[in-house]
Amino acid sequence: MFSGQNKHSERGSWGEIPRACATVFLAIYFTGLGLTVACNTSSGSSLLLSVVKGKLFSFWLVPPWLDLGFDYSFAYGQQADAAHYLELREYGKENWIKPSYVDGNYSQSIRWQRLLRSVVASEEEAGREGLLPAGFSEAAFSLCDSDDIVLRIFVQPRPERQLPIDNPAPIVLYEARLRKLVGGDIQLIKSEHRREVAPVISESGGA
Amino acid sequence: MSNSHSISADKSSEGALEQAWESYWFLPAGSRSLAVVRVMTGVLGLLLCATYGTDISGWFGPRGWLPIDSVTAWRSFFAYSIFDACETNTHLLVAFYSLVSLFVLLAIGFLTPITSLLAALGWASLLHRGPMLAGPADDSMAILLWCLVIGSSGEHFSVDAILHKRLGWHASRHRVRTRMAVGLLQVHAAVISLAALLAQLKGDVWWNGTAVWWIATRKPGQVVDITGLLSQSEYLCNMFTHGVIAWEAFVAVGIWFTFSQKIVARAGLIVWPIIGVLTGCPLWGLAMATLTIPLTQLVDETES
Repeated sequence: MFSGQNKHSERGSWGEIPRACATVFLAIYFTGLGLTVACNTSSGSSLLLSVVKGKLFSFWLVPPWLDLGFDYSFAYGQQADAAHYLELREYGKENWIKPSYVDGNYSQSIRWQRLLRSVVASEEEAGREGLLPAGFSEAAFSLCDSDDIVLRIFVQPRPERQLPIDNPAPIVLYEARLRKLVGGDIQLIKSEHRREVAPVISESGGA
Repeated sequence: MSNSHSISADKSSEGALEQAWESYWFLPAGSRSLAVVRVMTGVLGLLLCATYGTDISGWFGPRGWLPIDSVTAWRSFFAYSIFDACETNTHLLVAFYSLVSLFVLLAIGFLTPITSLLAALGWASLLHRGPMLAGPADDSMAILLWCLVIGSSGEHFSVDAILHKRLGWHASRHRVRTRMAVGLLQVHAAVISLAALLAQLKGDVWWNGTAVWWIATRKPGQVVDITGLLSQSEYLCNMFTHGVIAWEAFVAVGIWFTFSQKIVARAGLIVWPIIGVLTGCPLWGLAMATLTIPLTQLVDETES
């Protein structure tokens, strides 16, 4: 591919071997870059591509940067991208505490929004359920001044463009009780909300 | 006869491809525009550090919201962070403000080759300490920093340049690695635009023209409240939404052609920050504008 020493002088300071090495590295890197885009987490990916990326590229592409796959959709008009809020209360008490930094100024709240979305999204991911809320325990206990608290994350649904900007009722996406046990371990009891289910069909009404 | 024609055509196309590849990646380039990228990256790094707030221990401290155990269990197996070793608030603050100092040094261009490498490592570490907090601007920032590590960005508009001049050390010169850094910035600008475009086109709201409305109504993290403006005119809302898509497509393609490259890059200095505000990520807009600075050809690259 790289022929002729006379071309070398035209091209400046790099010799044939460094240029060949750089070409190989660039080709490998661009393959990995292509795979990070193809396998970005929320877009789904084929098993084949995920395995190739995981075995050949992840170990050296993940450490220097996050391998987010540049999946910047920003909004799909769904609940997941509405504003998320965090509330805490001491177990058995009524009044909720709303940490001010969650929806405070732009700079901090943007990271809080990502964190709360990750908590909700990770409930659907095997092996990650409850990890982040359990990690909240120390900070949450200290905020509520209690070792037995309830934590909830809710979204404020947004109005359609044609409708007046009122605040519709919030929807709770995640709620759990966190408490410190005698040995210092943290127990997380997730509250299951009532979900929509198919109607029960009695035998007499069936076909 | 036709066989020999096709062989020579193949050889000439192969030669043209080789020529294009070689001149794109290995033709030595001046580093003034990369120095501008360095200054902008340093400032952007400081702004991004500020988004972690004044109390980094509130996030990552021993009694913070993201203790190390839950993060290591959550993140990728291959991730590693220097911040993992910070077990007390003091250690954490020292590590964080060291990173802030590195961005200051990067912006002013002091010991640039070392500073840029340490800043890139420090930034990757900070992101891996809390990957669930990272967003588009953080991701793009990592790309910018690694490109600065590859290229030579401290030869102009820097303390290094002043010191070199005073000490009579070597003058700045065109380098292959600077050309590679600029090439990588261009590739990533196109890839990020394309990936964002593909991600957006999967959602109905980007097709029916209401995506900007859904972003604007998200109160926390809002930079400018344009809901009043958008609720007055559906056409305006549609125009903004389709404008974001059209711009990303224009960048992903237009950045590769000689006749459109300069227009895309120069327009990007204004359009990307506006896109950043419309998409609720102003710092991402700034990072994208920074990626294309060398292509604007606004900086004279002839060495004195």
